[in-house]
Amino acid sequence: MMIDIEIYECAQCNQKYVQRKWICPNCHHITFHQKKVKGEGKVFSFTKIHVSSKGFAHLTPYIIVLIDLSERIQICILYNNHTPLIKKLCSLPNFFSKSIKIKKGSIVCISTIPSNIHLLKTFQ
Amino acid sequence: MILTPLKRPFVLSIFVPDTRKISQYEDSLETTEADMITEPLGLFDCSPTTDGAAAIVLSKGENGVIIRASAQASGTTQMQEAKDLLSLPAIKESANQAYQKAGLGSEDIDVVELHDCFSMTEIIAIEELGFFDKGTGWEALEKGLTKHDGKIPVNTSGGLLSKGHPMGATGLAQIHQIVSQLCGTSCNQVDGAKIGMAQNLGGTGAYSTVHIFEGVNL
Repeated sequence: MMIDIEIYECAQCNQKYVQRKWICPNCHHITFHQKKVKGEGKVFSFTKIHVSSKGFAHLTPYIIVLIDLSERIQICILYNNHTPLIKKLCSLPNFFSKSIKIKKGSIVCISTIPSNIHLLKTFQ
Repeated sequence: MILTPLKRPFVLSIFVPDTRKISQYEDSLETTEADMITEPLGLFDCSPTTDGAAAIVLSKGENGVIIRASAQASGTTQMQEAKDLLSLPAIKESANQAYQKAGLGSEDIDVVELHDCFSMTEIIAIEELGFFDKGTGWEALEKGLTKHDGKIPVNTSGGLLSKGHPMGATGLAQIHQIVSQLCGTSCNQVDGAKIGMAQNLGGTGAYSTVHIFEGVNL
């Protein structure tokens, strides 16, 4: 089942973030509104991680997919062997611009470069 | 989205031909078949985390290697917040600040040590530091413009990919290399190097520090 994604929107400049911020990197404002956007979008980019840090080694190989959601916001989702989607994705030469739906149990990466994920959040 | 027409051999050519003297991976075939780490980057596209140490002595004076500029800038730590995946805005900002402080431009730099933690980081860095136009870094490497006799000699120490990446010591080791270049004592000496740059990256590309040095009356 597709899920909604909770996002944080700056009250001043309307910039949207998947991760909660203390200060808006865009305009330095400090209040945000919580909003929900549909968990569907298009694949902007992706990479397959074969070797990861200790905490995430058990998930390898996994694919990190950067998805364009509606309202000009991107989200980073991790798909691994336990996700049925990975087999489908791996069989494609590339899947830029493919439509994608974020389902319950998806793992969102809230941080940095793909091989160095500090924090993962699973959608319940 | 901008796609750089970077083929895998180009990625490898960044460090293989240029640092042959000190690289243990002379056989490019070996590197092409290297284990994948994060596609399309293989084992030899990633700098090894190693032990290492470096030290510098700072003193007051008007001669010797002087620090013309020291600048640091930060950018986003989040991939999903990057305006352009093929950019590292912190490098650009720190470089611009350093150029401004020193009253110099990228054309004045004779030799540079930059943070090639991954092969593609070097491609992005040579663009962000202003040596090559956006999207043309891969071409510059292919044409050998970052070699000793090229437009801008890059990583005469071999860089992180060849000599390893002892975090903490890496930044000073870059400065050590630039100082030896400006003193004319480097093992890979660039003839007549007067002004050198060291660029160090931190976090996940979110923090960048740029120093510009000049050899005076050496």
